[in-house]
Amino acid sequence: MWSFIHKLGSPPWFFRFSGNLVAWLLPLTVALLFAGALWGLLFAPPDFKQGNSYRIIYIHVPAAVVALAGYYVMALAGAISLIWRIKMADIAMKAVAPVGAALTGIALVTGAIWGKPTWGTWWVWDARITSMLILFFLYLGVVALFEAYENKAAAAKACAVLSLVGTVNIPIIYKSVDWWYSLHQPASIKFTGESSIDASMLYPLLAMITAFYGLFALAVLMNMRAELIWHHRQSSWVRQWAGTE
Amino acid sequence: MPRADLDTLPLGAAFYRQFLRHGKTLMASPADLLNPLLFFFMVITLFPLGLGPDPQRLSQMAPGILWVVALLASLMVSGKLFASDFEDGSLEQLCLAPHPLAILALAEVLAHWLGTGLLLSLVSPVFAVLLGLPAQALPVLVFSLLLGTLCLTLIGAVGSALTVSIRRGGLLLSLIIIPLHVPVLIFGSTAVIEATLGGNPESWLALLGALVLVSVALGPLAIGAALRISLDNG
Amino acid sequence: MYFESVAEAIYMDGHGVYVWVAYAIATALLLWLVWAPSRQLRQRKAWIIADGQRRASVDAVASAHQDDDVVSVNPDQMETHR
Repeated sequence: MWSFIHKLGSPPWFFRFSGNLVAWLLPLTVALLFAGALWGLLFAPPDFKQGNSYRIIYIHVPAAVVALAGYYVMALAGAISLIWRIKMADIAMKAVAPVGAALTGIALVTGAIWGKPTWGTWWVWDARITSMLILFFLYLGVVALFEAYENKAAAAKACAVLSLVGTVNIPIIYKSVDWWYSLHQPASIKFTGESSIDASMLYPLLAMITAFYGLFALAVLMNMRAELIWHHRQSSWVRQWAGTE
Repeated sequence: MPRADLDTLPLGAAFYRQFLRHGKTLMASPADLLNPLLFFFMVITLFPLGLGPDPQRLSQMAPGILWVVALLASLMVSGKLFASDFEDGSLEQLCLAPHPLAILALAEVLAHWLGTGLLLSLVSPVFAVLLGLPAQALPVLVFSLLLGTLCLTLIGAVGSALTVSIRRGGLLLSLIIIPLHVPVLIFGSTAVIEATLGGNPESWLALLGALVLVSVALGPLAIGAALRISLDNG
Repeated sequence: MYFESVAEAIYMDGHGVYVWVAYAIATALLLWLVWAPSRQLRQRKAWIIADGQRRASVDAVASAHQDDDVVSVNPDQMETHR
């Protein structure tokens, strides 16, 4: 176990390992994504209240779930980078931020599109959507902070501090937005009420969540590989890989 | 300023010295102290102009308006917190001092808050009256702003420490800090709303108090780490 | 399949526009997430190969001149010729 973790920190080893991982994760994820989407779009029964518009749930919820988890992954990488000063953690953190921002963007856009037929409006200041919007800003902040620093080693450390501060804040933000919403919520409408979901609707959702996790891992690994190659472009293992040595 | 001075002092005295130093720079330029207040005043003026002079509507919106403007005023000044220290090199001396950077930074943040947040909270009833906030909510407004601006200043200091080495970091500072300010805004404005409705603001004030404790405990650590990183960058 | 026909699946009782547009946007963004880093990796690999070839040609020129006993163009070898 420890030797595995130790190896993760070695760029040539990680590059080879991640290459293999991407090679089998890519077809698996694409297949699962395709199957889950077809299942949700064509085979699952419609919701008895919302009709067919609820089918957006199969991309909206997975994107939101993975985007939130992604922030914790980023903060964890940041903590590892700050405590043990492992270069690989810096690269991982930088790779997660744009992926997380894109997933949050998907969750927001699909949420807005879902809102139109369901609530009759593109945007509602609902607790979950508002929290998602704030998460989007948190991601953008990390990306922008990284770009603003000239010294990229310092940039990674700064982003690590920011993402850790954000991690402490996220539960507080979610809780406060929740209270805020329940306080201001008009009594007649209730969107956030938890309803039990039928198995025929739940299974495709679980499949899609798994597929989104796979896609997140894929995109992060691929970002890391591109970054690793550039960072070590002068070293012999990269030149060997490119076939020039 | 001789560095040896700071090295030989015990921690408490170093804290006090740092506190005084920042306080003196604030006092040296009264314009910097007055700017946030003036900003507060002018933006408050904009709301009746934009929303119409209907007193009932204004007083209904007053808690939110007052809190949002206070947040923006605090955000506006927090960018300057470590700027002069960074430019004149005294930040490097702070880092070299034998005392924990987090504690020394906390001294500066507290001095900064006394000059901005405290002042803003004490003056806020004047602006509240302009918007027609019910009188029974005034004490809650002041108290919530006292607690809230302390939080805002500490969180803003983290952002300031992270962006101090970046030229034109102002917009970036708002981007990274505003999302972190959300809970403070919610707890603070809700406390005032509860007070205007004759409800119970105590639980919201207690939540604000909890936020103060968390940010006093964790904020300085992040500020210290961020200041060291900024020195590496610049 | 839940729907009776393809047309019905596209129409989805009037919700089809929303559902399909949402899926299209999500698909485009997800494709971009995977395509962008793979393009970046390809571009960087091309740069590294070109850089390697450039170096190889510089080395070749240098060694050719070394045989002629002429002062090399390669700054690294200037010292040895002097």
